[in-house]
Amino acid sequence: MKLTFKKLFSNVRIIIMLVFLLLSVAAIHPNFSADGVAIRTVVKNSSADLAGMGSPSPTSTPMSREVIEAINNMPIEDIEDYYDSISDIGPNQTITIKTNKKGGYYRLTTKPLIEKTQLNETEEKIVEEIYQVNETINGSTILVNKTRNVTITVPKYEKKIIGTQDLGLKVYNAPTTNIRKGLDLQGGTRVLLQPEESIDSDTMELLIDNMKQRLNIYGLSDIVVREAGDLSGNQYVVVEIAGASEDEVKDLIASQGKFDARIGNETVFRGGEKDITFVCRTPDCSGIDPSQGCGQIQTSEGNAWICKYRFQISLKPEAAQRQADVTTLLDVITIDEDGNPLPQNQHYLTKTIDFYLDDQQTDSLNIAASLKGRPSTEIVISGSGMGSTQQEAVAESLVSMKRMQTLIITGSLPVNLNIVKTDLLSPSLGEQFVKNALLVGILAILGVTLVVFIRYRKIQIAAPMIINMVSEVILMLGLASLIGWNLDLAAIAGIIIAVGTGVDDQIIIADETIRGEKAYTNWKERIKRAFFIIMGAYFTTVVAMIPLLGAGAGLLKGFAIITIMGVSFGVFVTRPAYAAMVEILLKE
Amino acid sequence: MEGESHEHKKKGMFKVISDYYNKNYKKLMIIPILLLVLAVIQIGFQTASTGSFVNKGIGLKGGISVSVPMEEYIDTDILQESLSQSFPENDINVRTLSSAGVLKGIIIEADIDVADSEKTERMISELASNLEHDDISSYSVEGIGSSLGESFFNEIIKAFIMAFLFMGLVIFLYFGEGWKEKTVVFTLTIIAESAIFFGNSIFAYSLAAIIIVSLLYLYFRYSIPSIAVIVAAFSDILITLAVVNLLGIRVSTAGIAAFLMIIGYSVDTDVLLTTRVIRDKVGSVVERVHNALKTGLTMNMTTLAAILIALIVTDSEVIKQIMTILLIGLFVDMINTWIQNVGILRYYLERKEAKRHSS
Repeated sequence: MKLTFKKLFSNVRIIIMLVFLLLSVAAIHPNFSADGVAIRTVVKNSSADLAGMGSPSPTSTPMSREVIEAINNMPIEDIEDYYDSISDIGPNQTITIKTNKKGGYYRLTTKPLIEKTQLNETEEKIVEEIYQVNETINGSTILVNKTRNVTITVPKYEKKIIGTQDLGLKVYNAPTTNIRKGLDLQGGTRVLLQPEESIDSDTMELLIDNMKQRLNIYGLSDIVVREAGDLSGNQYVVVEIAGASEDEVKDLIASQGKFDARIGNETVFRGGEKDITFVCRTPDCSGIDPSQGCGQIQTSEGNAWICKYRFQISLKPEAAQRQADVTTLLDVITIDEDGNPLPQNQHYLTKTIDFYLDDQQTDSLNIAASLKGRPSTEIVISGSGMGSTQQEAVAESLVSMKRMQTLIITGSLPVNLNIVKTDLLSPSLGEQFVKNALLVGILAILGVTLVVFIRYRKIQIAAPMIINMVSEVILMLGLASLIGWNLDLAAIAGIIIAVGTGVDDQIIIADETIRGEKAYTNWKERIKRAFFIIMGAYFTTVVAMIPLLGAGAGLLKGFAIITIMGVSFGVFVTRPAYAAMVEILLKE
Repeated sequence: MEGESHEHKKKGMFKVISDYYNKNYKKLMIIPILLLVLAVIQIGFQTASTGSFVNKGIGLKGGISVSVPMEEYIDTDILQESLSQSFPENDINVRTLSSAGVLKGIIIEADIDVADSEKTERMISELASNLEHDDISSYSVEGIGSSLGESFFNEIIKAFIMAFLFMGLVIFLYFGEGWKEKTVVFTLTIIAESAIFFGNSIFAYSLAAIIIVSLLYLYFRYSIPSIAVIVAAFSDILITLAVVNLLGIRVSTAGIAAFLMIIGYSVDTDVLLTTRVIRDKVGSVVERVHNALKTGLTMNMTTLAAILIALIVTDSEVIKQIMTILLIGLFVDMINTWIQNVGILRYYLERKEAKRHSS
């Protein structure tokens, strides 16, 4: 007996499987007694934000998220506790929040909820206005910005405190493993949007495709976008997303995303594939601007950090030509603000190139004189992000850049959308699904092992099968945790296929080794023949899944990936280990 | 004495079936061929009369969505059960909407046509009586579109054709003979795949169709075992689809995954059979078939056990649908593998033997 165990654990293939198993369990990081609520996001400028609490990075693993353990020294076990404890807090009160992070002790001051009503009176206010005037300096005429104070009349408002502003924390029950659940297992954000004007069905189809593309490019693939309409003829679009914050969704899909670059009043190019051929998203030509970087500025709320980002895009030749047609009409400026002559390579044109997003200017750049009249297809887009610390400004800046890149790639939506309401939607598979699925899985494994035992009447063949089936499931869950894959129905189907073919392959191995006793005495020969069959079935299954990777629907892509990975794990890790186990046990 | 003759009777019956199976494989082939023909007829009829080759469930077809604002807790599972019983021909799904941890309402999705005002009104009144929430004016009803988009089915069919082309190639490389033939098949397959994937024109699709016909000819001429495996997987899907349609099952997005899973275990048993029959050196063809049958039936039985257990224990409608489709597919696969595929292989081998003897 002892000798058998020693042989088992010193076999290379079995050791490999054990190593993979340990890595998987480490990746899953289970902690079934986790209490508390984890922070999903922190709303900007809320009480929580001002107290120093931060949103987790979207790529961080579920088990590394910050978890709130106590509020005002009262322990919080789940979401109900959380909402109970914050429901009675009045405005301008201080509360303490303790989290599981090192030094995770925050003092929050609640803000009052203010209602502004417009009165019928008016009052006068003095504001600073910027205007432009032509001035002649040293012989050349240029536009100069000047400021002056102006008195304007504005309506008077009355402010009333009607309650406490939300703390600004979006929370959910603390996760127990690193396995991320997909939309159908966990539910998600449901946003109801209404187009600003009524659109026909072709435009609606285009709108939905555009929105899906935008969300996919941004990195959200677990989404459902459908059109809806109520009985009075109003049109809506319903979006369901897992794993994204409300703000992210609002910014991404509610804005029409009209990006255009203008010189003066002329639009030179727009976002979308008509004008843009390529948008850089790799670190070599996108990211925080190395020459401008980050700096501190003074705002009405104190010190803030601002970081500039830039990324390169390529224009179609027609768009580049349009730009050349406009710049050829401009004059060159050869002196700086103080009237001193500039070196040749710093000459620039009289107008700037301005970037607008949904008709709001995001940035403005000088055009180098060397580009006058020349069609240039390489353009650098820039913008900035702000935050209360440099780290926050960098993060904010990168998020803005990602959004800008997405909007330039996909172009504008055919119509502007308004958000009607946002809710948290419960999962379509029901809360009990996971528990029931686990029960089904365990019973199915036992049932299969029973059939195998009845067939072969040898425990040495049946027992390792249970170990293998369970191992394969753990390995796939471990891989899913490691790469951050959402476990949804497609993933579960893929796991079932992989384990199912695993059982089939193990039966093939078992049969070859037993019947081979009569025809071929060499063990290696028998295993080789078994694996010939197994590899044939493996390659055929894998190539059958490959076309699904390109299929449009997200459901099938996830299914194909999980199946391919699952059967690959099986063929290269667990089945060789099974063959080794059977060999060692049967030889005894 | 009684026991012995009983045993004899059992063994005798088994032998009778076994002998019939061995001798009359050609006659038995009628069963899978007939099933395939019937399946094609059913699918054709279904497409002609309903416009789609499958009964679409809610994810594929869209329906109505009723939102009810509520603040008291309600057991959505019980509500879903009760509504499903009142509307047995429809898929019903009940979910909750909440905001900041507070229940705001429930949303009921059903694959009822929004233009069907009679059924919609019946749904609303059923809901009202279930919820004891009489203020029907606060219910908002919307028609919702399908979540998969219009082009989904076209993409699925394209993906299936490409999958079968790839599968044929792998099987041909595995069991076919001759490097020249294998290279030709490889090149033709790649060209056809590119035409289907990248081309969106009639020209590209016609080119692909021509190549597919030539590939089928090549398979037939140079590797009958290859064509047997492909035909088996293909008939599995078609016959299962026809049965699913006849049973009135409304296929949801999960059901599509089930069809793909059928390919997985169909391939397993067919590759096993083909390897044992073609590449085993010992025993007659019949003996090799029997050996493959022993292994293969064990594989089928384990799959059957798992599917039955899942069907019995699960209380999720989604899993039930997947398992039902798999169950049908399993039985169809058993017929296609052990009667059709066996028949083709035996016919092919006997022809080869006859040619060898005559030359």
